[in-house]
Amino acid sequence: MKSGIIAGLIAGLIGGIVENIAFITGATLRIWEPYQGVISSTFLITHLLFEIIITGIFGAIFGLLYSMYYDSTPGKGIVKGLFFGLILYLISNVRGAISLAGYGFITNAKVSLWLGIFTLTVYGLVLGYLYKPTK
Amino acid sequence: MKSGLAVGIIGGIGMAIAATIDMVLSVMTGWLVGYPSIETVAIISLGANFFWGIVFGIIYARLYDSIPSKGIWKGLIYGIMIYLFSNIYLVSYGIAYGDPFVINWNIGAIGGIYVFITFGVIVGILYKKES
Repeated sequence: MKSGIIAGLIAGLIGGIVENIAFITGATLRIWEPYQGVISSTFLITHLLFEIIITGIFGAIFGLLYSMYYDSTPGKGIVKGLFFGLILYLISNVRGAISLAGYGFITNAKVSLWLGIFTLTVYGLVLGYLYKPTK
Repeated sequence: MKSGLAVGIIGGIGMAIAATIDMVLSVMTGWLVGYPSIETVAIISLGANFFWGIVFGIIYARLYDSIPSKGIWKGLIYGIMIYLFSNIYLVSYGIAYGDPFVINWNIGAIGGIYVFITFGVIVGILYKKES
């Protein structure tokens, strides 16, 4: 696939699904207290669907940037995509979590770290697999 | 200046000052809720943003050739890009999962725009790649 936007969109949608699974798993395992107390069917339909759409949109934007910075990103193929995903994780989730924890928002910090690692690892792997630059 | 580290240190100072002004004012005016004391907020904001400014400065030097435009505009584009990665993307979590403190995430997103504009302008002016 030679379009970073399309590859990123697909990777983002898959990442969004993984993120929802990670959210439900994390809440079920009580890694943090769910914001809403219980995960109802209404919550699943509205919030989780919303997050898949949002992650797809961001995935497309990040995919465009990946195609722009393809040569500057270390590695090859899937590893290159994984590296890009982990860089995103570092500057978004890890950075955010450190500040949130410092301000005392431990739940938010845990959510950020937990969701980001699954979402962006899968996102990077799928993006790295799908995107092939034009020569 | 040809060192990404040196540019990052100066950019980090600018970013830390801009972010701390934003955070302290937001806490003082009551826009941000549930935060610790102003002194604690200021210390964390200064330290965290200075550190990340250095990291972003080093990344800027590495990505320099791939970033569109020249000079200040190149720095601004980079600053906005980092803002998109780090602030806007995170806000979607707070909204999607019904965080009762979602207002904090939104204020962070709004305030972040001029923090990263400040950073982008500084690195755009200062950094000159070795030819």
